[in-house]
Parts: sequence; C-alpha cells; structure tokens
Amino acid sequence: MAVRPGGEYAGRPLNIIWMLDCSGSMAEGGKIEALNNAIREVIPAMRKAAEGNPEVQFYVRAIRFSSGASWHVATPTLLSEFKWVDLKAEGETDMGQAFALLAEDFRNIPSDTRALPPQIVLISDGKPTDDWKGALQALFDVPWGKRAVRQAIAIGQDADHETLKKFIDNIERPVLRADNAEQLVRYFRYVSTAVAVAPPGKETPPVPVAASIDESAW
Amino acid sequence: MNWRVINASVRGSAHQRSGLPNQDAVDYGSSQRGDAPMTVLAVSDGHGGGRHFRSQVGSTLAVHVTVKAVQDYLAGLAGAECDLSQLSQQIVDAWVTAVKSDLAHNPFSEAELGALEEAEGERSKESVVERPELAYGATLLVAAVTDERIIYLQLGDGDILTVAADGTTARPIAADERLVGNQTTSLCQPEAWREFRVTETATSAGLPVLVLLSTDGYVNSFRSQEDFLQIGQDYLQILREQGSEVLSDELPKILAEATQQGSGDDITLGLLHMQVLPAAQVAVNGASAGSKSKISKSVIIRELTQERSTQEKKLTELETHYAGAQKHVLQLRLAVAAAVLVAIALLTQQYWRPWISGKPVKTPPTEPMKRPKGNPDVGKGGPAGGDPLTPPPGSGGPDVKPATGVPVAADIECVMTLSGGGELVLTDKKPVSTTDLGLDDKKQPYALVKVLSGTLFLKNLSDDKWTVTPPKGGKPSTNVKMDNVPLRAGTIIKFRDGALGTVAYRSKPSKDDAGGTVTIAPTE
Repeated sequence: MAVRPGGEYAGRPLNIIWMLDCSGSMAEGGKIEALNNAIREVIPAMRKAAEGNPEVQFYVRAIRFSSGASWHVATPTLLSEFKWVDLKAEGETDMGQAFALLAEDFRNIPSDTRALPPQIVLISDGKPTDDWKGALQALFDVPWGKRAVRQAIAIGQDADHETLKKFIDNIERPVLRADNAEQLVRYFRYVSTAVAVAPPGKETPPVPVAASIDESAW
Repeated sequence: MNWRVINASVRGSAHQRSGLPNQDAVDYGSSQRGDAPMTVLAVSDGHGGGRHFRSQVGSTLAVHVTVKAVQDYLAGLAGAECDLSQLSQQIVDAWVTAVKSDLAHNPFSEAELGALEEAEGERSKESVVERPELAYGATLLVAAVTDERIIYLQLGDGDILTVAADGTTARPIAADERLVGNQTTSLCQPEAWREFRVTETATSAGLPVLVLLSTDGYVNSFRSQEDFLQIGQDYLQILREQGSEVLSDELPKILAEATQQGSGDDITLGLLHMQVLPAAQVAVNGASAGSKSKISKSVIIRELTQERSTQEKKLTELETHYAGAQKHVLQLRLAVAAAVLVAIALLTQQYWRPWISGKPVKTPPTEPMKRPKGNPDVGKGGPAGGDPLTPPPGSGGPDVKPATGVPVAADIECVMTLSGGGELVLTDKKPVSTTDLGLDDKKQPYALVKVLSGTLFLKNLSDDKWTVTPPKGGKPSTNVKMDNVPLRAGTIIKFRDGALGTVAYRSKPSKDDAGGTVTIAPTE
C-alpha cells in the first residue's frame, strides 16, 4: 500500500520524577552517599527492565529539596541517556516547596497529552520544615499530580511516615522504610524497575519482602 | 445511500509479550427494516488492569448488544424524535443483562479471584465480588447511519472521527478533559449511561463520507494529535484510489505496525464509508495537491450527481444485458438437451437395445441438493435452479449437501461434526463456548454464529488461531480473532490441535417452515 495512514508513530512517554531530601540530616551516617550510590546502581537495572517495554519512552527528572526546592535535573532526559550528578546535603527539609514546584510544572502539561501517568518517588529522612499540607493539596488538585503513581521511601527511624503516607494517598501502597544502605538500594530498585517493567495501568509486581532490620544503621 | 463497513482488530505488541489477550472488540450490522435502511458500527476496548480480568468478554458483549439495541431503537422510532440519552440507557441495561447472564453461566473461579488478590490486594478482590461488572469493564464507541440521521455515542476513551468529501477531518464529540493518563469512564461504573457523550446530525445537514471509530491504542501510537488526525484524509485517499477490498486486506497489517512502533496496546479500527466514494476522486486529488480550499461544495455535489447518473445508466444497461443473456442461455440449454435426447435416441436404436435388460437408465445427481419446501422463490436463479438434469426435490436423500453459493431452504440446518465426538447445530446468533466444542478450558463466548448479508458465518471470538480448510481440498487459511469463517458444506475448522469440526447440512429432524433462509456463499 502506497500510503501508510497518519503521521509519525512514537512510543508513549512516561515521566519519572525523583523528589530527594538533601537536608542537613542526610549528611549524617553516610545517608546522602548511600542515596547517590543507590541511584547510580539502579539506573542500569532500570534500563534493563525498560527493554521489556520498547513502546514506552522513559524520561527521568529530579527535584532536590533542603532550604527551598529546585530542579536537580530539569530537562526530561531519556533513561538511556541519563547521567547522575551527585547531590550534597545541607539545610532544612522544605518538602512543601518541592510539592509546589512539581504542581506548577504539571499544571503546564496539556490535557490532551498521550503520556502515561508519571511516577513520583519521594525519599526523605525527616520531618518537613515548611507548610507542606497546602502544597500537597495543590499537587493533588492538578490532574497529573492526582493521577501520578506516588511512592515513598523513608530513610531511618526519624523520617515522618505520616507525611509520606499522605503523599502516597493509597493504603495499598505502603511507605518503604530503609534502615541501611542495602535496603535503600533494594527499595529504590524495586520502585524504579517496577514502573519500567509494568507502566501504570497494568499489573504491578508484589512488594519485595523486607530485609532483616537487624542491621539498622539509620 | 449505501454504507459499508471495514474493520480490523489487532492484539497489542505489549499484550503479546505479557500474554494478555486482545481485549478490544468490534461488530456491525446493516439492516433494512421497513423503509429504514441502517448501518450500525460499534467498537469497544476492554480495560487492562487486574480488576478487569474479564474485559475481553465485556467488550465482546458490549459490541454485540449495542448493535442490536441501536438497530431496535432506530427502527422503532417511526418518525419520533431520537432520544440518545434513552438509547444510552438501553445499551447499558442490555450490557449489564448480558454480563449477568455470562456470570450465571461462568461464576468467578477461585483462580481468577486468587490472582487478583495476589496482584492488587484484598480490597481490589472485594470490590469485584461486590460489583462483578467491574471484571467486564469496557468502553464503547458507536456510529449509526440511517436515511434521516447519523448518530454518535461515546463512553470512555477512544476516538470518533468524521471525514468530509474534501478530506477535512473532525471530531463530532468533543474530548473529555477529565480523561488523562489511562483514565476512562466505563460501562462497568454505576449509572454508566450518564457518562455517554452523544450527538446527532440530520442527513439534510450534510453527511461525512467516512466515519472512523478507533480504540485509544491507535491515537496513542502517534507522536501528536496532528499526526493522528492525518489518518482521516489518508484512509479516504486509500479507499478512493485502491478500493475497500485492498484496504480491508491491508488494515490488520497497518494496525499491527502501529502497535509495534507506537502504543503497544490493542488497536481496533472500524470504518463506516459511503459506497459512492470513488465519485469524488478528481476533487480530492485536486485537494491533496494543495487546492483543497478552492474546491467548492457545489463542484463535489455536481461530480457526485453526475457519477450517480452514470452509474444508474450503467446499471440499467447491465440489467438489460443480463436479461438477454439469460434468455440465450435458456435457448442454448434447450437446444443442447434436445440434441442430447436425439443422440441418445439414435444410439439406443442402433447399438444399446440388445444390451439393456429392461432396467431404466438413471442420471447420477452431480450436485445433490435439498429443494425448498413451501417457499417457491428459494432456489430460483441458483446454478441448479430449474435445470432439467437435476433430480427432483427430495431425491438426494436426507444427508444432502448444498454446493457453495446455493440458497438453502428453511428446513435445512447447519451442523458441525466434532472430531472429539458429537455434533453441534449452528443457528444464527448462537454463541459457541469451548465446552460446546469439547475443549477442556472454559471460555464463553468462544465463537458466535451469525448471518451476514444472508450468509452463515462462524465468528472467532477467541485468541486461538483456527486453520480453515475449505471444501474440496482447497488451500487452508488461518483465521484469527474477529474473523468470520463462511460455513460452507465440507469446510473443516481446526480450532486447536486435535479439535476439528466439519461443516455439513441436512434436513431438520422436525419440519419447521417458520425460519428464514440462509445462503451459503463465499465471504464478501
């Protein structure tokens, strides 16, 4: 047939946004180093998992929050081209500002986009130091914020589970608590590869069995 | 105005990898009830996700009940105003009834509920037990055209596009802005009819020449909305330049390429098009060369009118020619019969007399066929109709088989003899389950018997690839989901390894002249 109907074909985009706590407490106990290492370790695993879904274009971005919030990786970057630049830890835990920054970004996405629901992974070791409730509501008020697959990893026992739970807003998706570097890698790999294996709208694999917390470091 | 339907449905490339079936479905119907000819096309997309584990059945039921509900509703209007909200309610009611019936025959198994609980948790399982329709969740797109109006109904995601004669492509129903990121409204939600988006256009206001109904796997395969909307003009061009048969053959390949290079999701496309399409070829070729805006409506109408007049003239000529040819054939047959009789008489007189010992000579029946009873029109015009060499009615015995393309009387039924033993009587609209075919799993519906354009078919509703061997040792072909197999006598369908069915025709055990007639003919 001479004519192939329609314009150009393309896979569906799926945006992954990491929202990372870089407050001063993350500098203690080697937590920020463990986070940087976990990300470096997980990227190849994500690429491998994404090979099973060639129709999906995975893009990664990152927000850092401490005293204020900003885009650490502002441009949606194809997973295959993604390179990690290490984070440093200092300052407060302005989680609310991170929510507000993302809500503003999502507000600009056109409603007729064919993108799959985004995934947001929030990683924190403490309590928010700003007004996070209003900002979280603002995120939920945007269609893409509400539709996003939201997951959270609590680092250590001082993390504010209640806030993270409210961010997830889904009782079937628990807060994952990492008490050492190994668990952080394990959970981060789980949430990151799960979305690459099974994009939203399809079945997701079960949560992995938690490792023993005897080796608690944080 | 005559309308035709072309459709195809392909399993998503991601579904093939994960083992999920094609959860889309499409069905259509053309009917003539009184003075109301109409064509109805319905497309449905069964939801993915664990809770909707029977969405494949849900979408299949949706398109079947919808075609019937719309036909019934429009035929019953009799000049009254069309209430699309009422029609939506009737469709939802029919679907819920069909789902409940399916559930009564096939209750949820432990395996289905166990798999759901494992994948999505106990709450998800409880929600399905509480509201079983969830398991069958599906969207719905409908277009129906009559002499008076064209109606569109949409529930959930997917796209309805209309294409005008100049290639302009539009959406008759505005997008639902609430539906972002794999979100959709559904037949399975409470009071689903309230979520229907509907519109109606009177034919007097001008009709599109082409209507496209597609599941969201298609739009999601394109880089942008503009890339997708381009399909309207492109399909119109293919139909005009290459015809509906070429497009019908090519469509599954087009959609398979789209899912592979695009969304990975199931894709179904139904096209409803005017048969008079080639008439405007000149106009559209001009349009595609960049002068679209300069083509006035009146030019296109004039072209169409002229073409129609030419076609009607040709039709009259052909009819006259055909009548003359038939007369000649009859004369020729009589002449040949007379010559044969003369020759036989001469030969008998000269040579055969001493060899015949009083036994009558019988002419063997070449194409034995059961003649109709109580319906003098049936059988006329068929290859054997009125032929003096064919045996008289009933002489072929009770197990006679009609030849392809021969009308069959109401007292003949289609039966399928199964390799595993037993037989199945195939009547119009009969759903066929795996159990009926002696297969060990339970899938309902697995296939559906239907009459299309007066021809009996078996529609494949499963993901099994059937091997169909036509009568008289013809070349076997592969039949996939949504394909129709014409049920000719002698056709062998291999459903799976070791599970074969052979089609035959025979007299009904009890005489029943109330039914209609079916014609066994090749597919369109």
